[in-house]
Amino acid sequence: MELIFEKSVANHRCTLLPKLDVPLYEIDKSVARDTPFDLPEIAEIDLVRHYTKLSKETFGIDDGFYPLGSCTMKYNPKINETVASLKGFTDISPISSPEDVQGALQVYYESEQVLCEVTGMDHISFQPGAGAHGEFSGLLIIKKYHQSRGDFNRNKIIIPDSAHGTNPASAAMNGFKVITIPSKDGLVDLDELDKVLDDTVAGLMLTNPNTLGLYDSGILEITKKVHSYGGLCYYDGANLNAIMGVCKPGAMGFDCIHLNLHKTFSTPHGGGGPGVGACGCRDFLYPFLMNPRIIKTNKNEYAFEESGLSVGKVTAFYGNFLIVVRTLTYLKHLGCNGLREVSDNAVLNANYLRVKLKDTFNVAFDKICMHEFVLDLSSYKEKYGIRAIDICKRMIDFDMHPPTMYFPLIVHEALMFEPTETEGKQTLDKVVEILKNIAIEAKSGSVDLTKAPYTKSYKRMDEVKAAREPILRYVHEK
Amino acid sequence: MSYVVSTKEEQAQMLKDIGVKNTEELFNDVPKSVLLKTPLNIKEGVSEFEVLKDMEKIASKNRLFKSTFRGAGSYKHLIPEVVKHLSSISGFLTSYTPYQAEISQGNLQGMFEFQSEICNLFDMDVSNSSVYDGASAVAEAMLMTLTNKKNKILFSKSINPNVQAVIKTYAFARNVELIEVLSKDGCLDIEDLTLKMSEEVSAVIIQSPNYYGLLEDIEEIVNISHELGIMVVESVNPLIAPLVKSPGSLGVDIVCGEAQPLGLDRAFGGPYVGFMATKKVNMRKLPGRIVGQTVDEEGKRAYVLTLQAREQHIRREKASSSICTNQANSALRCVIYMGAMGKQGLKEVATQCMSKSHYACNEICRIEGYSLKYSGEFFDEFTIHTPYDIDEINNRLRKLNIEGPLRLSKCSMLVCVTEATSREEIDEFISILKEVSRWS
Repeated sequence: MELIFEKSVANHRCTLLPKLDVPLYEIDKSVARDTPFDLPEIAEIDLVRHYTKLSKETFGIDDGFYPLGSCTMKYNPKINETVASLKGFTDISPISSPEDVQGALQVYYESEQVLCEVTGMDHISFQPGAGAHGEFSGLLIIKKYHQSRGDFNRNKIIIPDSAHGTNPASAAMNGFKVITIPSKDGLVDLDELDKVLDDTVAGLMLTNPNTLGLYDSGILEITKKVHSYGGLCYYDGANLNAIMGVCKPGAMGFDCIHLNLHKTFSTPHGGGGPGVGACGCRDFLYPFLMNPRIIKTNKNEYAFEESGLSVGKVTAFYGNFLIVVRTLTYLKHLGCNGLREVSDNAVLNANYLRVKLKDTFNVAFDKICMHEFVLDLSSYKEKYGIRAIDICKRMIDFDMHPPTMYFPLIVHEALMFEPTETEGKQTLDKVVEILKNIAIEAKSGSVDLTKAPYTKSYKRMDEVKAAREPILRYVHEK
Repeated sequence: MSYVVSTKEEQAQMLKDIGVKNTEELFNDVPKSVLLKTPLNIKEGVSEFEVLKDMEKIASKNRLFKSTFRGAGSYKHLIPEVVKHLSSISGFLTSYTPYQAEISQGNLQGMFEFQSEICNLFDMDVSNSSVYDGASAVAEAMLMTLTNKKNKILFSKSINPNVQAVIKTYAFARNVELIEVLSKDGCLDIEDLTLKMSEEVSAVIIQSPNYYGLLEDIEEIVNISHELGIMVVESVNPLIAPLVKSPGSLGVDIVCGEAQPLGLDRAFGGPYVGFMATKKVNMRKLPGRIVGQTVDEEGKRAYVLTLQAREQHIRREKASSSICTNQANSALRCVIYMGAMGKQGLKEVATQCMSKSHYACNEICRIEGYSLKYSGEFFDEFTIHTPYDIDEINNRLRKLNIEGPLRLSKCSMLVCVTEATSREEIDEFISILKEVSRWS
C-alpha cells in the first residue's frame, strides 16, 4: 500500500480554518524554523480513501473470531462509543474547577464503587494507562508501604514462570530483584515458594486464573505464606473475565491489584491502546495510592483529595477518562447478573472449545479450565514439521484471528485460546471444524501450511530483515 | 444484557459435552471459602437505552463553556470531523496490538506514518509508536538516559507541575536522584544549571514552550550540557514545530511530550498520547512498540513490530520498560489530524495560535492593572500579572459561561488562546478584565 507521503501532491489540502481575524504575528527570525518541514499535502477525499483502505487491512473483533489468549477480545458494544463521544465528556478540561466537572468526577466515583465490589478491594485509581502501568503503580505502592514502616530490606518480588512478561519488567522498573519460581503441574509450587520466602520479600505477583487458564486452588495457602513473611500479594487482573461474581481477588488474599478495563470491561483495544490499568488496593494501602483521589463529600458533592504519603502521579491528569466512561456504561448495562453471566459463559466457552479440540491437539494440563486454555503443538512439530505459527497463519485464511502463540513460555509450541463469552456455540462449532481440517492438512501435507496464509493481501513477513536493517520512518526519495 | 450469544438450551448442551452437570461445577477449583455466597451487591443491568439516558444525565453535570482561556497541559483546538470518523472505523478500533502482521497492515502502516511524521516535526531519526501520555513520555525519556555511573537527573522548575509529579514518581521507583534547576524570568536559570551540573548527571530535562508559555534557550542549554556529556531531554508542544527551530537541529538528544494538541479532545485529561523521538544512536534504548518496514515473502513492502529484543515479552526484567499496550488509536488520530491539516494547515494552526495569543496579550496589557509577567517569546500561553482578585475575574467570566485563565498565584494567571477562540470571544474576555479593572 502507498504511504500517505506518497499520495502527497503539492498544494493539495483539506480543512480550511476560519480566517485569521486578528493581526498576523510573525515569530522572531532568531528562533524561527530553518529546516524543511514536511507533512503530507492531501485533499479530504484522498485522505478518507487512504485510511479507509488501511482499515480494510486491519482485522478487528468486528471482522471475526479473535481468541487471543490473555487479551480478552470480547465484543465492544457500540453504545460505549456513543456515550464516550458525548460532548459533556469530550469537551471538558482536566483542570476545570471541580464544581464544573461534577459529572466527570461521578464517572470515576461510581466506577470505583462498582469495581471495588467486583474485586473485593477498598479503593481504585484509574490513572495507569494500561495493565503494565497498573503493575508499575501497584508495586510502587507496595514499595512505599514497606519503606513507610522503616523496612528498607525488602528488595525482592516473587513471580511464577508462567507470568506475563510485563510482571518482571514492572518489578525491575521499581528497582526490585525478580525471583522466578518454577510451576508444578501449571500451578504455584508451594515447596518452591517456601524456598524463596524470607524477610527480604516485598511481595508476590500472581494472576489467578493463571496464563494456562488454571485456577490455583492453593491460592489461600499461597497468599497466607507470603503474608506470614511480611510480604504483600499483587493480583494481575488480566484474567478477571473468568471470575466476576464467582469470587473476588480480595477474598483470595490479594492486597493490591490492577484491572485491564480494555479486556474485561469491553472497551476497545484500538490496535494497542488506549486502555486503562485501574489499580486497586485494600484500606491499609490507601495512603499510598496515586494522587489525586476522588471522594464524595457529606454535601453529596464530588471532590479531589490528596494524601501526603501517596506514590504521587503516574500520568499527568486522571488517566484515560473516556475509557472509564465506556467501562461505566458497560457496568450499568450488564449489572450484577450480567457480569456473572459473562464469567459463566467465558468459562463455558473455553471448556467447550477445549473438549472439542482435545482429540485433535494436545491440551497442556488437560482439566477443567477457566476462561482460556493452552494447546501444546510439539507433537505436530516433531511428526509433521508443522509449528504452532503455521497453524496460526492458516487460521487467517479462514477469517479468524490466531490465538496467542508461544506463550506462556513454559509450554512448547503453545497456542493459547480465549474465546470470551461473546461467541456463540455456532461460531465455536465452526471454529472446531476449521481447526480439525487444518489438522488434517498438517498431517497429510495436502496444503503446505508453512506458506500460509494464502488468501490475504500479504504473505508472511521477513521479520529478520526488519530488525537487521531497521527502516523506522519514511524518507522522501529525492 | 451480557452480549452472551448461546441460548440456555445451547449452554446446557455445551455443559453436557464438557461432561459437567452445571456451570458451578466449572468452578470446582475455587476454594469453597472463597466462592461468593450471594450475588455481587451492584444494581441490576438495564437496557442500552436506559444506560444512554443515565449517562447523558451524568454528562450534563459537566459544564460546557462557550469559550475557554485555560490550557496548562490540555488544549482546546479545532478538530476536523474527518479525524474522529476515520480513527473510529471498526477495524482500527476493535483490533489488538498488531502481533499478526499479515492482517494488521493498516494499523502497522498507520503507526509507521505516525513515527515518520513525529520524526519530521522534530528532525529526529527514530520515534516509537506512542506511550501513555506526555508526562509518562518524559519519565520514560529520563529512564533512557541513566547509566550505571550516571544516576542523577536535573529538571527545570519551569516544567508543567503535573509532569514534574510524574517524573518524581518514576525517579522514586528507580532510585534516581532528582535535582531541581531554578527559574529566572520564567525560564530555566542557566547559571543555576551550570552550578548543579556534575559527572553523575545523566540528563537535564526541560520543556519548551514551558509551563509559563515561554520558549527556552535550547541552543545554550544543549551547548553547555553536551560539554559535560549530559544529555538534553526536551518536552515540547508538537504544534509549535512548524514555527521554531527543531529540537533535532539544535542537538536535543530526546524530544518527547504530549501530542493531545494534534487532534485529540481535552476529554478531562485522556486518552491523550505521549510521543518520544531520538537520534539513531539511542535507538535501542527507546521503550515501547516500534514499527519497521520490511517485505513479505513475495517481496511486497510491509510493516511489522520490530526491535522487539528491547521489550518486556522477550527480555522480561531486563527490558527497558514494562510498557505493552500503549495509545495506538490516539496516535492514529494524530496521524489523521496531521494529514487533514497538512504541511500548510499545521503551520497555519500554529500561526493562528501565536497571533491570537499575542493579540489577546497586547489588549490585556493595555488595561490598567494588567501586565505581562515575563518578557520572553511565547506561543499560545502567557502569564499575566495583576493585583486584582483572580478568583473574582474567573467568577465573572463563569457567569458568562467563559472558562477563565488558570490562577497560578495570588497575582498571576496563565492565559491560553488558541485558533479555536474567535476575536469576538477574545474581546468579550477582555471586556470582563476591563470591568474588573474599572471596579477595583
